[in-house]
Amino acid sequence: MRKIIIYITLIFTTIFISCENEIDLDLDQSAQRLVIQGNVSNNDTSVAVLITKTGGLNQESDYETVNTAEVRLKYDGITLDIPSTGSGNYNYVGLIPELGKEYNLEVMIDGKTYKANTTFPSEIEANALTPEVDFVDPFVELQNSIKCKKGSNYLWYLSGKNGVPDPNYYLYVSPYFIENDGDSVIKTTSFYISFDGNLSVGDTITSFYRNIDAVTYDYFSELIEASYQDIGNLNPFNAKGNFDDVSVLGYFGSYYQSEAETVIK
Amino acid sequence: MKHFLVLSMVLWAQALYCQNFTISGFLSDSLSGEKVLYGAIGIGELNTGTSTNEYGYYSISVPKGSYHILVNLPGFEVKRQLVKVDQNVKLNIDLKQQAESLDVVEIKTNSKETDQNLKKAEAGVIELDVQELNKVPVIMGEKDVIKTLSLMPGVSLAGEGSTGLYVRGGGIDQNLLLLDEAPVYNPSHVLGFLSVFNSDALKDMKVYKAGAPARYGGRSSSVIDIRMKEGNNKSFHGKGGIGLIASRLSLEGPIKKDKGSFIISGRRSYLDLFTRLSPDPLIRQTRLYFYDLNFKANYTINQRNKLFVSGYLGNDAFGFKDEYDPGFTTKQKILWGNKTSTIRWNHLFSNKLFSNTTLIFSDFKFGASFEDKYDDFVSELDYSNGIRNYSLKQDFTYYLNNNNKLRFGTEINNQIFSPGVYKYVENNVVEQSNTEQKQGLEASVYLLNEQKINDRLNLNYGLRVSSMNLYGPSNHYDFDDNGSIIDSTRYRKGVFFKSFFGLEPRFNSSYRLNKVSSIKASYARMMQYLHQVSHISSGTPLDYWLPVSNFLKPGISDQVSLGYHRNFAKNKYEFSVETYYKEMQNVVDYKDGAFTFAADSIEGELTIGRGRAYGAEVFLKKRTGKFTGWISYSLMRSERKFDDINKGQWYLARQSRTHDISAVEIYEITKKHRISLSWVYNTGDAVTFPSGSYQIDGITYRLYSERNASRMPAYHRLDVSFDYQVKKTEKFESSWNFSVYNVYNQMNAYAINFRNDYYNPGEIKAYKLTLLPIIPSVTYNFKF
Repeated sequence: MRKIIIYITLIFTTIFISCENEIDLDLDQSAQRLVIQGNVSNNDTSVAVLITKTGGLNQESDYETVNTAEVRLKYDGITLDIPSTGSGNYNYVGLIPELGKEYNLEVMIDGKTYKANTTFPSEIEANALTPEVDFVDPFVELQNSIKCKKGSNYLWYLSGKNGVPDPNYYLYVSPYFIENDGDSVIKTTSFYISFDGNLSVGDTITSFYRNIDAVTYDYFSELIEASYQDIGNLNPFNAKGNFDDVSVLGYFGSYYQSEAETVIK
Repeated sequence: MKHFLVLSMVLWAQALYCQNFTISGFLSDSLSGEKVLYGAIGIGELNTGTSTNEYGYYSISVPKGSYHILVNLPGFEVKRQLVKVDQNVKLNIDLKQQAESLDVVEIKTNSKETDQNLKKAEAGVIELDVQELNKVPVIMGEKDVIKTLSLMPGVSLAGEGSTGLYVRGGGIDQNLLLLDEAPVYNPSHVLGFLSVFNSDALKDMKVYKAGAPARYGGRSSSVIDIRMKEGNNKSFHGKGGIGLIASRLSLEGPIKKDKGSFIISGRRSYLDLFTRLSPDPLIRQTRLYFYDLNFKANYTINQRNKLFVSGYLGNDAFGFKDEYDPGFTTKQKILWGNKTSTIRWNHLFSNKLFSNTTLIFSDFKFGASFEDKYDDFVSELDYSNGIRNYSLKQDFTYYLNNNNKLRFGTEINNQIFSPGVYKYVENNVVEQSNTEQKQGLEASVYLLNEQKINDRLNLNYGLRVSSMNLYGPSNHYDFDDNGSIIDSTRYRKGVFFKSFFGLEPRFNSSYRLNKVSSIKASYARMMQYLHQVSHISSGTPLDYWLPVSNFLKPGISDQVSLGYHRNFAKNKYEFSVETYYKEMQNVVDYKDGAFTFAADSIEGELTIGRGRAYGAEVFLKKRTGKFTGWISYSLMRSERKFDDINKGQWYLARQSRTHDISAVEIYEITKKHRISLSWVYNTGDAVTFPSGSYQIDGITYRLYSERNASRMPAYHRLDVSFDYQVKKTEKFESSWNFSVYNVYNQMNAYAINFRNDYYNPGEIKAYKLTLLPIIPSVTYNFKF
């Protein structure tokens, strides 16, 4: 719907004479801020935390990482130290998260502690159905059935080819959420995925379904809203996460992931 | 307060004891019969005087004797009239116009005694002369009161191509815009390039930036009171203009000579008439036009009763239909418009008690529909919003004595809000908002006194008591601190379920330091019981109004203002400097990422906070001579504070333009030629720009600065206008107006967008959207 309002607004602003030109602006550089992205999941790496810092406006890679933080996960009176694995990553293998349990993350950097928590969502089960492929365009219509248990409120869909998490094959820019407040619902979903001419017979398409917690849903919803800010007159903003210090960017959430594979024939 | 009241009562009692007879009547232009508003009338022998009210009526108390009535207003010949008073005297005064140059036949209805700006207990007031308006450079040949008003200190346009106004750091929804007492909710034509006010139909405009008298209420920042002409009650006349984008025609004349008159004034743009001739089917099927119609009629029933009926009707339309290929068609249509109607009854209960009863209707509607068809695929979107009100006002003016003019009255205003409603249908699947209409009854009473303490000190003080009463059918919601609904109750039709009350004290004073200078001070609390939700900062017809609720509390402003006013060279020059400090409560802003298209539970998207604005304004005007004009400078800072924005710290409001300069120069080259120019400069709006980047899941996102920590580029523009009188006879005259908007083609930024560079995707570049480059225009004007 936001696109519609932007569209109407654009009509209003361009009914008459209007033009767009590049302009040189002397933009202020913000002070560096912490970016913490943490997840608890049913993956092998059950606790994954990445700590970086913000960079320049035109920076796209090589963001400064923080490798000297102390990262802890607390739940049920238990404290797990999450060790650094380099490049800003802090990972823990072996935790089996439980449905409805609250997990608390504490990150200590330069004497300051940042806290956030998440409640682990329920299981889901994804199964692939027969895909329909159009090799001319080319795109594939993936159909999957997903079995959601009680408490499965938000699903996040991504896809990849041949099991390789190539970002080009992720529907990441526009993650697909499904709101579902049902109890043990089986849902059939369809996605159309364009493969830019790289699709061929024998390729394996992997669908990743994540049942995500409300924190993750809210954070990525805001992140997507923020990326729509193409009309300068709307109030731009940074997506807010759930850390107790609002100056920290990022979030700490949790998800249960199920994968479904299908082979192009 | 108690002592003050006692003192006032004693003064009034003394005055009552002294009074004898009254001289009362109307002040009129002898040529047209139009009433002269706010005109000063003096009695030399008694060193006393008064001024006409907004209907041209005056009343003055004198002891028995003979007196010279003196009226000396610019633009009119001096009027001296001997009056023998041994009983109450009815004296209607006709003023004869002075001969002038290009505007000799312009009706002089807004003339002020040359030093009235020093006398009146009114701080922060702008009185815009319609004649001045006619001389200021115009855009595309269309004179515009709102654009001209923005050239005055403390007032600025919300953006290029906008009729939204920022007044002393307030928001665009905090201005009460009245056309013959009817509120106009969205004064824009063609997005805002022109206002809905056709200057040919206007008589007077008065703007209160501070200290609005207690008879005004409903908005917290300013009052813009525009009055329409009454029409010539002596003879039939017309005037009009043929411009590049629109033409206009006004006709006026007597209904019955000296008893009643009418004026009807219309405008229509005609771009769509040309697009129909295009061979391109897309252009041919494009509709883009606006029209408006003003009308007013009045009739004097007898010495004590007079009726007025006036109204406005205007609409804008934009739409097109396109068929990309035989199977794919798209249709789009956008319509919006205002309607207002005012019926007034002036009644004189006595020579001292003037009454005005007013019935008001005002309505604003916006609608948009979009339809796409592709083979079997059909999608339709309909969106609408609006507001309507019905008001009944009763105002009294009691001329207690020459030193005290009491005004009191009441108003009941039924407001019906239709916030954004949308319906989206895609292949018969319907998605729509659950927005429902909301209703509120705003009621108020006021009492004020315009008091002359002595020759130096004038006061204007009063109190307004206002309330807003919400009624069903409606859901009444309870909200948590975040604006999320936690409970709701359904109320039946006509059941009042929530009320808000407020006391609004007002105080104005003027102290005459000497013959040429005075100081003025004011304090005013103003409240508003509705808020506007805007989609972009400069305002569009998409914006909708909402009443107060459990979450959206009444907006309150408290403003103190202090000014020094001085005239030079026998009132040829007028100078003023004013400072002010304004605090605002319950200011509304969006939460980060707010979605405001429809209003199912809009409160969840908004946040409530505080605001403050302070600044200084300098104004220098040359009033007479071949070379006239003014320069105004405003220094201002406007800030906001919300718990959930900028970590609860104060930040700049978008309209916090530190420097705002306007210069208007008008030069009468000969009696037939006139050149005028206006130049504006203001600091760019406070906005939020990207100031860095960060990554989430390997994807790069822009990092934005704190709210409004950056600035748009400064705005400046020069407009020039040249008038040439072609023909002038007793019965007909005509002239050409050549104007150039944005003479040096300054590409001012309307908005700035940031995008990755096409050739170097890693680099983010800024692009400015410019709306109006240099625009020459020519208009042929005529009068008969």
